[in-house]
Amino acid sequence: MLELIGLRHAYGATVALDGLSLTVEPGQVHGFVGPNGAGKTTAMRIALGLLRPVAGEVRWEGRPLDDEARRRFGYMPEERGLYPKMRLRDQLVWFARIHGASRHEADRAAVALAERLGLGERLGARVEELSLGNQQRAQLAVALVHEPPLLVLDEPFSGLDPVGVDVLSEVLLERARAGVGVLFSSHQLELVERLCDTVTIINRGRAVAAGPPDGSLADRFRELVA
Amino acid sequence: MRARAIVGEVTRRELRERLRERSFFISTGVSLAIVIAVILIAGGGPSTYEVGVVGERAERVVAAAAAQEEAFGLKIEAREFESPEQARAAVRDGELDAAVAEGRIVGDDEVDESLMGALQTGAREVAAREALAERGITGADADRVLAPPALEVALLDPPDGDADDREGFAFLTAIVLYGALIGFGYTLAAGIVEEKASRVIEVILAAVRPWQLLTGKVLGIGLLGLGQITVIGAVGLAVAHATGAFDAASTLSGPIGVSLLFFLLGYLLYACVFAVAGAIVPRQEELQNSMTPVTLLLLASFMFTLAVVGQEPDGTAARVATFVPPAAPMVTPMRHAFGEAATWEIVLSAGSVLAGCALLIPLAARIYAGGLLGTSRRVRLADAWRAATTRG
Repeated sequence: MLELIGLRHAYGATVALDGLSLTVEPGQVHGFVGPNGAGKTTAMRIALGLLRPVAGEVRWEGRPLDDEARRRFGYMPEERGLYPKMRLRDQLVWFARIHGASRHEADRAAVALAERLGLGERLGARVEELSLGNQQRAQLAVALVHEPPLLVLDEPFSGLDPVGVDVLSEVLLERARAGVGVLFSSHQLELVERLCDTVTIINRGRAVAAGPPDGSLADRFRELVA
Repeated sequence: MRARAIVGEVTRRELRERLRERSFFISTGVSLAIVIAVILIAGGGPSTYEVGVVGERAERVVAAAAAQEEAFGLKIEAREFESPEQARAAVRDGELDAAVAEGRIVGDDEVDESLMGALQTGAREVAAREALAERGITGADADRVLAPPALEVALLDPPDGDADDREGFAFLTAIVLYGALIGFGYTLAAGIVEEKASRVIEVILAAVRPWQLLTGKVLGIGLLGLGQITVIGAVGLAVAHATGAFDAASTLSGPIGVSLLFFLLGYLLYACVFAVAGAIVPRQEELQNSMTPVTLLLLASFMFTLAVVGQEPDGTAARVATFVPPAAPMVTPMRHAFGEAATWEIVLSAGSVLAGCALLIPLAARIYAGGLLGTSRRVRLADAWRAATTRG
């Protein structure tokens, strides 16, 4: 279980997070929605240790999150990026390795995941040679390849073609059924409603509503974005 | 996963990916070509001259000149011609360095001084031999008159027998070290920018601490540099040995060892600054600009090494520079190659570079960490310094 507790963060005078709290249970698909600049990316970066909060705490399995536990998380940042000249297979294996997978396990998972995401034919290609859609899938593969117990995905559906959206949705639900907690941000309410068990709406750095994605939550979201 | 294993993965990735790039092999090839060219030019042995010969007397003149080869430090190959016109034509076409015909030395626009000296000496000997023969002195008697035992030479301050070899090698050392420091420094900086520009840095930093990433990159590229210099050194030695240019192994293996040590130290020192130059810019286009201070410092140290240390390796300026960290990685191996650096100076010099590293590494690591996530615009040093404290 991931707990973000009372997170505060500021960039200079701009307050990004103002006491945000949320919890992601194992096996839960948790949608994270809100207008641009609400603090979603900052919260995710803090959960991954890329930023340190001014105040508040991140806990994992009931204890303060340490490097060792954090390294096992899977992360897809809003600004996508892979090594352009590195071959897909090498890249997947390398990312699995730095997340702690053994050499054998890394290679096995890289090949299996590439097959699953329809990249099996492209394992030997450099990432810059892949189509944009396939680069998106490769990015997702990097987040999944070490079989993380928690997935943190920043706008994972943006830029995906309809087939990609379907594949990604299936994979996320499949992982959640296996007990993985999934936290993802999105502007697309329809997707959130379809996939999520729980939704947190964030505005100006605070959670303004949370719960199952029913009609009242959707209304609240539309109010904020409008 | 232990920190060491993560650093190891980063290092292996650098090695594997760089060894797949053509540019590494091109730069190694260019360095090798320069080193081989310098060795061949510097130590190609005595020059060989082709001299045309017309007539029997000219033949004797050139043979007598050729007998003096060693004294004049040259080699003479004689080619016979039927007529003076043919010989002159060959001189004009550049086929011959000179010709001896009709009692004259024929050259194009000039005749090399040492060849001229040898030919004139040869001519004098032939004339003297003819004069002696007219007086009935021939054979061994004539030799006693014309080739008395040479005077013995007694030098009060004899030069080192390998002095020329050492000088040539000393300059090569400085050139190779400068090339490697700037080349691998740039490779490091460009690799850091590549991670920022492609945005892969954020994915990496979710699993790897900045210091682990930096350590792995510095190690991987440093190993490549060490490998490249070792190859250049080994091939240089082999070429020098094969052509007889330098008395290779005995004279030069010590200086090569010192060069490798100082490459490592210098690379470590300069890597700190190159890493910062890379970490504060978002795109390759801005890297040249942010690297300017460090490339200028390297260039100034290099110029100083060639111009000052190269001319007077035991002078005060050279001795002082031995302990100045940015200059020492080129100055000290060069002085050692000249045979002018005492062991204590080498040790102290290495210590001073290490001290510089100890000072720079924490500063560089912090600015590097603070600059990495600034992927949209150039980061000011002070902002990167402060940003490091807000990182997890």
